[in-house]
Amino acid sequence: MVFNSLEFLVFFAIVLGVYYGAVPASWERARKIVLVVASYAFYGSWNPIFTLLLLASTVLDFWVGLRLGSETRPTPRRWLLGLSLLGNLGMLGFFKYGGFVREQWLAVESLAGWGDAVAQPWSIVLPVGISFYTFQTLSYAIDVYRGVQKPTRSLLDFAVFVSFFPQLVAGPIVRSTDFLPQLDKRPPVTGTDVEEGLVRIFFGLVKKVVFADTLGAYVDAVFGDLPLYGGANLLLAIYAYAFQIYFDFSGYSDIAIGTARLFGFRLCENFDRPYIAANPREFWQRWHISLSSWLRDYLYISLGGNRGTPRRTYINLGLTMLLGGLWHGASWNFVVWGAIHGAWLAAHRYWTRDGSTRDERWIWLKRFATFHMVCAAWVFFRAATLSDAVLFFSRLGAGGWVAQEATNLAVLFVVLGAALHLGPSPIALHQRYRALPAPLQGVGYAAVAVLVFLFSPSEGRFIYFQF
Amino acid sequence: MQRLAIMFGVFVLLIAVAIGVAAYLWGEDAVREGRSMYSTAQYFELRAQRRLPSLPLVAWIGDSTIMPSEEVRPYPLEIGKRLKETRRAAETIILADAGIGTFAEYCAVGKVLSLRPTAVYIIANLRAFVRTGSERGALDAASFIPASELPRAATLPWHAAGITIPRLLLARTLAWPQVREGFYFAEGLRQMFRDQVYSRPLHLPLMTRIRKYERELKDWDAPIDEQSPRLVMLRAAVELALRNGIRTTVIMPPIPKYVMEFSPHSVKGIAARSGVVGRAVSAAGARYVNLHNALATEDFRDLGGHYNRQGMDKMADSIEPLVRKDVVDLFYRPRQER
Repeated sequence: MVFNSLEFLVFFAIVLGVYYGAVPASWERARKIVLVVASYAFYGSWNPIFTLLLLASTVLDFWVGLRLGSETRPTPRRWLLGLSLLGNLGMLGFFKYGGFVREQWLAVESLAGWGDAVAQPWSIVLPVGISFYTFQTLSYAIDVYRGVQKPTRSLLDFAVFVSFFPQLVAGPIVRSTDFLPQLDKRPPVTGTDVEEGLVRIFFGLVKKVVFADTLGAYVDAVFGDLPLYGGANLLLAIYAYAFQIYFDFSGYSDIAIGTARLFGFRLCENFDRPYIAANPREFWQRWHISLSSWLRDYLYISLGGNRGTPRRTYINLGLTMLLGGLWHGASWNFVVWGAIHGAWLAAHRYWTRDGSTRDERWIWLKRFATFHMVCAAWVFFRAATLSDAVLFFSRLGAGGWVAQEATNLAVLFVVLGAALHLGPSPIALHQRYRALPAPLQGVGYAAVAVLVFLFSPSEGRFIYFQF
Repeated sequence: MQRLAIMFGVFVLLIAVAIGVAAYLWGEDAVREGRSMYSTAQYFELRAQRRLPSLPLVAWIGDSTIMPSEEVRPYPLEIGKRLKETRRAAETIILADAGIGTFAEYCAVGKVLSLRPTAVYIIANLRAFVRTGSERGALDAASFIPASELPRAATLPWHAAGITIPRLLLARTLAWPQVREGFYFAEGLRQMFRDQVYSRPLHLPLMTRIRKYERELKDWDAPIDEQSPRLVMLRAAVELALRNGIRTTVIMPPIPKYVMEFSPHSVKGIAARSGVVGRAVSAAGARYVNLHNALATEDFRDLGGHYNRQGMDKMADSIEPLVRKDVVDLFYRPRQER
């Protein structure tokens, strides 16, 4: 069920109705049960069997958390953490990378002339959102291990934390330290919560359906037949993709945050105008914030962070981003994408080791360069294969222009995307909208609903659902 | 809360006005457009009607390779004609639409059950197994799945066709004419808008068309295994028919030779995949007729694997004995001899 679908609208209306209409506010436990049941139904709507994975991950880390809470000896604690890592990463590894590893092995066999020419790669169905909820449960186990988080004694609370449907399949990746306390002490939902939630949901829908999907139509056409297009088309296509993926993912995050708000939960922000970043470090502080902070706190710091020699720090940065790239999917393209960001972050750290990053001179030039470097890396992220990415770069100098019906809209939405980055922050925009008189807001919502209906494809998936 | 009530009231009022204006201005065009987008269920509705209830019924379910066309008579009809000439007449119905695969075929089996056919023949085009994403006809035909089959249907891999279980349940409301008309209106209106703004290269050069054909040829040459969602759906279609006591045959249609010779692994690979389909069908209890290698290049009229008159005749020659046996065994032969 995607957020911009009729079935989600029906589902959400039923869940809200049951949550507020059928269960009294004083019966908090029943409301949590409603949320867990709704979340499992939401997740199972793709493929019911995969709810077992969600359940397994929940039970494993709840148990590990409890045991870590009562265990003081270092060695058993390390074993318990290892069990959580093995369970979660094993599950992630099998479903996400099993097919890829098998494919590479078949390629090696074929090159060496060992294998059977008709041997088949494994076709493993990737459970939606597995990368997100395994990282979420892992962070809980690591936090309990580090003593940052007290283990929860309520399986119900923990199940809500892991499966909460607004952010289950594509984040933001929520920390237990932020979420679990909200289950204990949550003020009643107010009119302000509802207004803020609605603004986020409607803005998110516009980002996804109107902006991202329209840009996606142009991007798909160009990347589907690269040899046809010249440099100008390709350049427009990669700008369009940069904004498509931003609108798509930040739109999803907005809807998730808004939906959670209607239940009285506050989720962390995931994006903050990433393309005005003046360097790679700032970019990662603005792009997919919940993932980049997860990688920093649980991978980069675990690898040693910047506590060792400068050389070790550069290696840690590179390794973190390489694995971050691989987190997005089992493909060499994501490895290259991660490697580019890792090398770039390491290089930036080297150049700014004297603290020159605070230098505000040439800020626009730095932003321009950073944006284009990000775009260059996006080519690997979007291209179907590595050879397509190479073909993309080799054709950048080619002449010619292929007119398409969606070209004008692509140009318009790229310009609008840039303008939205240069203007006030999204939070400020939401506040300004909420300051409008109520009837005017109603008119705005109706206009958005019509736009979303017209632009909405019959089947629209969010890009980050595949990760 | 008063602010919210005002907002909601204005919102609902304006949406109602927008729907009214759209229905007044573009209503008929939109419904027509919507019908053309979701044609599979309409084709099935139109063709799934018995005209000769005293005769045995042979139902064919498949893609464009068995669709009636102006150029050639499809082989199911040719077989029907031959049976009639030998006084072993059977009524033939064809539930087919271009580009459909095993998801829509599963739904079509649900549709033919009520007609009590003597035998069902399902076309399993290898090309249909390698597609990813949505499948034409699968959603609008989902309303044909019998209610008693729903618990089992919920366990099938609809996700591979972009269909969630709630969507499958919502699709059942399309069985009501008013809902279906509303659905056509909404989808048609949206399509009319999208046609105005979305991506279509204005002039496709020759090389682009050639690359498109190359991709089409490669469609046949992709791995499948027993867990492939489209094969799971075929097995479910077969089992649904068998559970209702209908003799079921799955036919793997011929693949053009130039497709099989497209890459060094294709001939072996295609044979292996045909074998995978065959094993799954046989394990489900149906008969499997593997004709993937049955026709020569000159028997096809295009790259898509459609036959010319000569190819159709050869297909009728290959399959007619099976159909004749089914019809005679199950209908004409006295019960004690069956």
